[in-house]
Amino acid sequence: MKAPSDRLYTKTHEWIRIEGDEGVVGITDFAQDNLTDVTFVELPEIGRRVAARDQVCVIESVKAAADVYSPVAGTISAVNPELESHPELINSDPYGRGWIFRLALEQPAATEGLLSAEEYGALITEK
Amino acid sequence: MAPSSQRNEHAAAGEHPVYLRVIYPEPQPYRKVLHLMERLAAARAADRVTDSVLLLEHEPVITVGLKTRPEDFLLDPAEIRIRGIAVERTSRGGGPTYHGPGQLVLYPIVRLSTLPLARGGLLAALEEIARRTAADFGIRAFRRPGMPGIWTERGKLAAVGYRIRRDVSFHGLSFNVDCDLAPFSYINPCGLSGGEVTSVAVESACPPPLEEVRRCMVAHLDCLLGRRAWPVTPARLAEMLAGGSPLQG
Repeated sequence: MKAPSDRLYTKTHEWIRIEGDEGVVGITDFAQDNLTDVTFVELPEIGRRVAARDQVCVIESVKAAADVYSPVAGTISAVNPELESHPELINSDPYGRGWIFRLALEQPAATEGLLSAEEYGALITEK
Repeated sequence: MAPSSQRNEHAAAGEHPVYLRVIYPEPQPYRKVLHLMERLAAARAADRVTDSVLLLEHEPVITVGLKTRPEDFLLDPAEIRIRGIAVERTSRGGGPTYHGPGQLVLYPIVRLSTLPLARGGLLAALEEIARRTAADFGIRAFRRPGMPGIWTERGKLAAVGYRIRRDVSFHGLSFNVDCDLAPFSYINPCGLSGGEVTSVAVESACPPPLEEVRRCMVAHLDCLLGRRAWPVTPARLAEMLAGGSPLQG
């Protein structure tokens, strides 16, 4: 499964792309594949402060539900409005239009413990 | 390197070579098992326990998934309880379903990233376990596009629904062996318009004992997980969780 190299990953299958002092967060192709057809995304509240690995929201599919965690500490600065009417974007474009929320980063460099695309790829394929 | 040799290498290194397999001999109250799964999933996510799979029957219960709407009940929940069936909220995805004696449930509390999953993920793997188990008893069962679960021409034979927290799954698969099918008509089971459910007993001229179906299911489970079972009694599992002893396989 592909994992773009322009971002960082968590062991719980989120990705974050750092853009200056902000980060864009979504779930990986592996995560959406295990969820199957997404029917609802419970979007987080803008302005909420989260620590790294805090549970931020729940994604529901036809037969499953998965919790989403924040890869780093920050404050939710935006959510993807398109997911309200098109939650299936999580399945069809997990690394693009299926982004979930933006974070104003607490410390722009606090990315220790996150995985590179290569490390994440190894995590989900080496069996 | 071939996937199988990689797997063996991991096994040799002691990394998740086995999973804990726990078979409950008696039908279990739903709420007790739900609490156990939640604790096991948290322990698995913290690496205090290796992967485990619970195999059991439930006492009669209608469970309500996150997606359940009031109109999914075709009979008042109070009336359902009067008929001796519990109604319980759960943390899994999906709509309502029925569990009861004569139905095998399989709950994998496993780290998804350690499984040899193909495209379609855990859902497809669980459906495949059900399909192969049905085939063992001469039942032609299949997947239906857009309608998760395993089906025969008569109706739904197996249902799937789960939750993923921190890379760990819980809840899972239910497979109708020889259970009362009437309670499915009290609900829209996971989005069905009622009625269209079946069981191994309905499908086969000579219904096999539940233990035999479980034996076949376990063989397919081991095959799809790509590892072997370490059988543990329910009492031992409870001790391990309570004592906080390392449960690494």
